[in-house]
Amino acid sequence: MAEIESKKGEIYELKAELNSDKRERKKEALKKVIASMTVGKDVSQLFPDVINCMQIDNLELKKLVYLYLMNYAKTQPEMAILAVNTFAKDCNDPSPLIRALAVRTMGCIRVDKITEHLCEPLRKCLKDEDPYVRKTAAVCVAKLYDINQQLVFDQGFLDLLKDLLSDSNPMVVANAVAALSEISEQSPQIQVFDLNGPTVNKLLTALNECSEWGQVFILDTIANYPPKDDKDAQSICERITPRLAHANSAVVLSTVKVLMKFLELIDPNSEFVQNLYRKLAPPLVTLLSTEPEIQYVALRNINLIVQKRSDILKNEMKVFFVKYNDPIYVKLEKLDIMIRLTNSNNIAQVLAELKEYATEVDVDFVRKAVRAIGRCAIKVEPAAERCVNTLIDLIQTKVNYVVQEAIVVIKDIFRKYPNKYESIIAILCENLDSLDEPEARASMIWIVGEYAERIDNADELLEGFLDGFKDENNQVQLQLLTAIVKLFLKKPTETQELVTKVLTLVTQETDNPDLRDRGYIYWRLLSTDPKAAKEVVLAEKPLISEETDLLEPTLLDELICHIGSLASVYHKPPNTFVEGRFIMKKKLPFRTGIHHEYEDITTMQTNQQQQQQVVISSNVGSLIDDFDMLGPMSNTSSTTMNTFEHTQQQTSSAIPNLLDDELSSILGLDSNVGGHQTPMMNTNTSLPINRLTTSTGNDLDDLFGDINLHTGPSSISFSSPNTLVLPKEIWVSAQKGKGLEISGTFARRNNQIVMEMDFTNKALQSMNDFALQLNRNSFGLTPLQPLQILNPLFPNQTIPIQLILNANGPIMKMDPLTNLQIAIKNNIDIFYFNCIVPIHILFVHNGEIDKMTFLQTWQDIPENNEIKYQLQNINNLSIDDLQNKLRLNNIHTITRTIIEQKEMLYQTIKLTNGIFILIELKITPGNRTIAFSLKTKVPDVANLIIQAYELILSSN
Amino acid sequence: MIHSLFIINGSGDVFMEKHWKTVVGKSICDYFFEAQSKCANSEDVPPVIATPHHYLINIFRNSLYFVAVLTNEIAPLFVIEFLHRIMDVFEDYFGECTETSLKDNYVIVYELLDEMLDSGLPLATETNILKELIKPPNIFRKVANLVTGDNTNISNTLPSSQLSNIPWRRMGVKYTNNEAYFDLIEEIDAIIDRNGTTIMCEIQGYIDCCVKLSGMPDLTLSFVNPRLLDDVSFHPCVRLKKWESERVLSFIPPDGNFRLISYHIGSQNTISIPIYVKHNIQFREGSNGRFELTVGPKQTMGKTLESVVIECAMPKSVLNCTLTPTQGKSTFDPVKKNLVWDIGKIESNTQNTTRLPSLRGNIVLSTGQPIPESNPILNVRFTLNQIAISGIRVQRVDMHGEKYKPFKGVKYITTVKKGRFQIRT
Repeated sequence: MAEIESKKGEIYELKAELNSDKRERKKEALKKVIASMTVGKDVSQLFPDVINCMQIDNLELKKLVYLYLMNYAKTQPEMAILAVNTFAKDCNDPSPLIRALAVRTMGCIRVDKITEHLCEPLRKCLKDEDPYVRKTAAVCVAKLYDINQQLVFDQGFLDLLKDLLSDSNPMVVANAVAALSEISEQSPQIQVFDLNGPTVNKLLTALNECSEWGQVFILDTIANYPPKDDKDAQSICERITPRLAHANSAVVLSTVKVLMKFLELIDPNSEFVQNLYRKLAPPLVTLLSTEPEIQYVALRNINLIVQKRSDILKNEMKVFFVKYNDPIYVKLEKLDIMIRLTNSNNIAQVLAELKEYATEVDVDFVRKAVRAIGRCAIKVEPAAERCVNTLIDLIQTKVNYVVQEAIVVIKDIFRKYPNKYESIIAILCENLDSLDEPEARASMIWIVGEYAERIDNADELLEGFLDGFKDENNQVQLQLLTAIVKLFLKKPTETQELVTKVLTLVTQETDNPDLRDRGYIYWRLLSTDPKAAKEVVLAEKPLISEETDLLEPTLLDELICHIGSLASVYHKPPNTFVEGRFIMKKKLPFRTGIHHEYEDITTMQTNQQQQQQVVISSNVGSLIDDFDMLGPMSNTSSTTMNTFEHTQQQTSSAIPNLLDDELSSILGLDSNVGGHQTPMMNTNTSLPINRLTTSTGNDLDDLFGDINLHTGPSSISFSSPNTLVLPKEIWVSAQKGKGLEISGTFARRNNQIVMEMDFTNKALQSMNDFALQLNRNSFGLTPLQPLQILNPLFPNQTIPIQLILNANGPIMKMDPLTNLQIAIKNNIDIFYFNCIVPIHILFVHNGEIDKMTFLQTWQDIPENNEIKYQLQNINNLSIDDLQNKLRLNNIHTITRTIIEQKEMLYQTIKLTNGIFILIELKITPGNRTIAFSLKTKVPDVANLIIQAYELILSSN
Repeated sequence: MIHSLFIINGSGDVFMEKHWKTVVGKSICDYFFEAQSKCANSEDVPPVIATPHHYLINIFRNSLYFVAVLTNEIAPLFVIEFLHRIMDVFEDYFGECTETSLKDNYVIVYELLDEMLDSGLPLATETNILKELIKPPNIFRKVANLVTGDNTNISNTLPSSQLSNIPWRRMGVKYTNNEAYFDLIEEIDAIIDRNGTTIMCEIQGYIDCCVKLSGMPDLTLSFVNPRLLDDVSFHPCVRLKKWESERVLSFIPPDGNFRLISYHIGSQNTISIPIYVKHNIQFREGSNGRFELTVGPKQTMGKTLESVVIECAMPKSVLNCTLTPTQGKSTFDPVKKNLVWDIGKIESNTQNTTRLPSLRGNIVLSTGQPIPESNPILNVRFTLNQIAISGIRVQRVDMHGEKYKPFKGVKYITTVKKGRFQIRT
């Protein structure tokens, strides 16, 4: 209580002083106010008193008042208005310092009413004779944009700002660039910069004379410029290379970014590139002798550069050697880069260093060092033996975490060099009891299982683990199950009891479906065909790759475009973490045009394929829809069975019973034991649907999708009888999706846009935490509700997803227009892909207009917007059929007449975004060619409409 | 851009905040504190921390954390460099950048921050421009203000140089004694293994200048052996083209102290290390662990090694050390387990091994603790005056553009930055 009193007293005192007649006392009081504000005390109550001080003509006082205003105007908008007049006056002050200060402060006050009064002074200041004022005003445009975007467009400030790019003063140019970058950061969809040769030339000139911060903005902007050809790229590179010697590390890294990007365009074997490589290494190395924070960011970027162009730093291994007093975050990064640079020439040195690190104090670092030794062994084959010996030495230190880490990497070494180092197994087994981390335990169990025939007491060892089975981590349990089965297959006579024990355990006493299912599969395999079991369980494993932790190439390329940014620190594309904005995906330039053409061809081919694969199956569709709607996991056993039987009845005429005896018996067994819905059944229920078109193979293969991937088309689409739905195509292959395969299509159901997808898990572990996001797109498609997949997706399980889309989301023009960028996340990673939304999905049902309006609109649209085309009536449809078919897809015929013995059809289409398209079809009887003529205010869509017509007419 | 700045002291108090756009609540710092609590040492806090809505970029210097809050994608180096620049400016203004000096000068700090950044974009970061806008505090001015009754630290004129092509130099500089001093400082960065072989040795060099010349002097500085300098970064005043073509430094200098060039000499060049340490460290159960060090000069070209200090972070299991030096003073901190042997000077002609400084004695291990796996690392520091170990020398310094004859001086120092010279034992 007393404290509050005293605070009140303080404020009261300040109030009195602020209103004092003496200027000195006023100033002292103001300073106290600012000081309180600085430490976060609330002095907003003094607002009117502080405003009163503004009238006094003293620069220091003015500055203090302005400081106060910037902080508190937001909370007192009504009072802030009182300051407007003084601002207006100051904007006309003879001193450029005061003019600039006034416009700058006004821009910082985020109050709408003040912003209105800002426009005129700002316009004047942008054309001020004094460059100091112009430069301040340039930044002010960015501030205004942050507060009110529309105002900036309406008042033409953007163009004024662009004019400043050609200003005579380099500081003004730099600030204009900074302001424009800030704006384009906020609205990537608008073309802020017209980056062309002359502009870039101006920027390069300004680059030499502006401040270091301005240089960063200019370089970052130049990085977005697509050079015309390799000569253009080369000349820009030459002009910016001296920046590599700048003392400011941000300038250096931005220069590196531009160089790395433009290098793509230049012949890699040219002398120029070799020279540039030589020039790039020293500045990167220099960054490592700066403050640790800078080192860290530099190292994260060097990590990318080394992955893209390892030649640049191939001789600089030593600078990455770790000092024991480096901060831990620097140590870990250095280690990572050391491994990437390791080769057979420097391995001896690296290994000696790593061994040194493995005796350090910091646990995380030691672990990583031990792991690094293993990575060296896998990467540099001639040194593998030395690495293994080093690891053995380390195991003998008996330091618990070192031993565990060593065992994990030795497992990988065994996989890379099978049958080479098994002699050390005995040493590993000595440490069995000290392992307490799941990963180390699982690795050890894997080793015992894999080499069971060479370990005399393998059964005892594994039995030992089995005792505490229930308390083990899931990973260890799975590994133990597999290891015991391996053991049984290798030494069947002695271990029958053990294998029965583990199978009983996993199938009856565990509630982990993953484990239980694996148990069932093994059990069934072993009991039906031990030979097949041997082939499956003891199959030769694919070799593991040399480089681990490599970034996926497309991601790497994208990150190279973001060198120096936050993305490069996180090693994630910016759109995954920059909140609320979608950043345009940046791509490295291609060296020649070939790639582009290639891309075009592929899209054309897929389009053709789409057209050929149109399937409309009317009878089963609605049923499957219902089934899909229920969701795969939420339904109970009985409903699934019902639906399943139902499906069978419905389709029985066409399809034989696909379930062979074995599978149904597993199914039976399952429902007997479990008595409730299991994921296994789901796999089965989806089988008949999947198998409609494929040949009936051994269904077991399907369960072991990873062993014998079945290659036939995995899905067919069904649709309600009206709208045309294209078959699902694979959007994300299992390889790209790290095991997740996504196929999908779009449909229009009940006048809603529906995105239909199948998620298939082709990995060995279950997936969960699914989420989906659509990028802004031309038609504002957004999901009506978030993607909901409540239960995990188990290996080899497929679930159908239906997602209803709205067309009222944020809009960004895409190329092609119907392109949709989708991001799907699960517990493993985030996957990005593009797909094309067939435009007819966007035709709405209420697009009919009356004849008069049609005529009126047709005449209103200028002639040059008319597009003519020759359509082929491939199926030779009658005009009535044709009309019906089009109507089903929301293409409405307004009227039909006969002119000069030709049938004329006048049709309209309305898109979800309200765009009308008017079409005239001229059909000569007996001729398959239809003269097609289209008019719309938005000619961009014309080609897509033609494609839609062709697609619909050719469907059957 | 940079949204807000929080300054946090060693005990975790946010004692200053500045917002350039909207106000971000202090609670954002909780994410920083959370990251900090996970780190063993104060310098281990990761520089970039992501929070749900913001990014925090921090630097740790002078036992203070400067935490910048960002909302959108911006180059982290830009921010880190900028934060260091803020620190530099504070140091320049207040002589040191500590909690006390900042608290004593709240208003100047606030005015400076406001002048340095506008809406998150850097505005004026050169100290000489800032000093024209906001005068630094000093006793003389305090007295003068008292006498004249004028009490302002804000200038009423626009700094003339802010828009010139040489923003780093103010106009109308005048000195009675015109002098220019150049300190060529080289820092050795090395790791030596237990056999005395150099694993890595690099040199980080700087030329720090103190230029007090009137008017607009145009200086040229040339080297005896410029080919050694292939990895350099320059102060913006250096004409890059001239360096590329003629390998001379041509520049109009800022007024006062500044760093003209920093360079790096990598491990490809052979560098002779001017010191060696012989060591024999053995840990044994009980109190009979052995510790023995001998230090001697090596190829110092007749110069004396000065301020030689050897530090050694002993393993945790070491209870105490009883060591006697033949020269200097040795101390052992039994809490931090840190051994410091301050040797002082070693003459270059001390070739007689018996007269070389040495440190001998016993190590006591705490009972029941395991014997350390590995021997500790030695950290060596020393200074070598009048020589740049890389062999770089300034050939001549010339001045054009002004008529007077300035006094010019060049000084060479080879030294070791704390913790950058490590010997494994």
